[in-house]
Amino acid sequence: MSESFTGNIAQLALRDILKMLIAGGQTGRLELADGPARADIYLRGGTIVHAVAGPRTGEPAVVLLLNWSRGMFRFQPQVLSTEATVTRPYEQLLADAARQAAEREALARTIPSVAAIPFLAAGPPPGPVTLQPLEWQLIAKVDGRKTIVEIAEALGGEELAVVKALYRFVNAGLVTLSGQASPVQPQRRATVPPAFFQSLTSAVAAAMGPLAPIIVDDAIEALGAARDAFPRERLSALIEHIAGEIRDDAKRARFQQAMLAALRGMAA
Amino acid sequence: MERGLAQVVSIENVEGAFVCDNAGDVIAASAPAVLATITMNHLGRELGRAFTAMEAAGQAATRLELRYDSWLLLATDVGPALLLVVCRPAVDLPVLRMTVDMVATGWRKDGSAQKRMRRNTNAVRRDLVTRAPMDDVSQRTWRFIDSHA
Repeated sequence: MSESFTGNIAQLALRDILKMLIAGGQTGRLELADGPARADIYLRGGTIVHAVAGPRTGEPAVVLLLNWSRGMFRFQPQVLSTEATVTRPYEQLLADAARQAAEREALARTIPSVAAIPFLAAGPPPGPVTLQPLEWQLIAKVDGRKTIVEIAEALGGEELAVVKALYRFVNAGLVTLSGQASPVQPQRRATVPPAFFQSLTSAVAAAMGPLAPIIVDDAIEALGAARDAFPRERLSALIEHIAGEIRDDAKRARFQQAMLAALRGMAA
Repeated sequence: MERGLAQVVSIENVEGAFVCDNAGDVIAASAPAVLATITMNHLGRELGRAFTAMEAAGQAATRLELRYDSWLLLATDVGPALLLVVCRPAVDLPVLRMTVDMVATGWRKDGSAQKRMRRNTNAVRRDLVTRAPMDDVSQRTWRFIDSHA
């Protein structure tokens, strides 16, 4: 293979791409991108030798990337890495990724999104709860404003470790998450009417085309909320999130103008 | 440019907004001015240095949000200038950021706005650091950042 090839991970799974490159004895760099996230996997003679995904490198990076389900890829042949941080066979990394995916799926049933905001429960938990040092640090960061991602960043720790700890807290009755019934907020929160989402979807379609409903749903999910009970006070954050996806300056400005006017109309 | 600033200032909890060129001088401000001119110039220079230092350190930013006890300062790089917005902590930040982004996009296509922002043709933002009188610690810090750029 002397020329680069590109594609969409949603159409050709990353594990299949890697299987093909490994079977072909390829050497080069597989570049991955999902929105602002970037990652690289290096192969030499059909063996994965190095990977970088944000702050992670080596095998943890490969395991993380194997669970990417969307994004773009490009393979650049003969681009070498001077580092050798991956030593285990690909099959073992695949098995690790499968285990991690199963774990995340179990966690996701209680914590559906890392964009959710944890709140301390208003009342005491039903039984005694023992906290480890990291868990104590985590509880100290729960302020009803920071998302799970922001808490993990503030602690400088692995996001998965924070999610696992929060999973225990939610099950112990110490913490609730935005989007769930929260005893900390007894007053009924104003929610966004369905008609607004129709206008929003139309505005997104004008800027980004027919994928608008998917883009809106993905953005709602990324904020850890649901369309049928979307908090009014988070609507501007939702619109900002979507606006950030519009790369064309003029289209983004038109979208922002329309939605800011709609927000003012709602407030009036 | 004043129309853009008025759009920003119309947001609830925004106290005022102003634009500083690459020399750190105020070139436009909402009326009535939210801060004394000397203070706005000082902020323009300090934030210009901050953006320069971050870029030199390989962590270029287009926006900085500085939170204080009773107010918040949003600084946005609009190319040859900085747009600074002074607001109360209760401001709806997503609305503010989107409005700033929209205004900045308009200025990028507005010839007269570009002319005003570039009026000081010799001004290079980096000069705010390299030609500024700095104490020893700041000098050493800058040399370290710049040498590793």
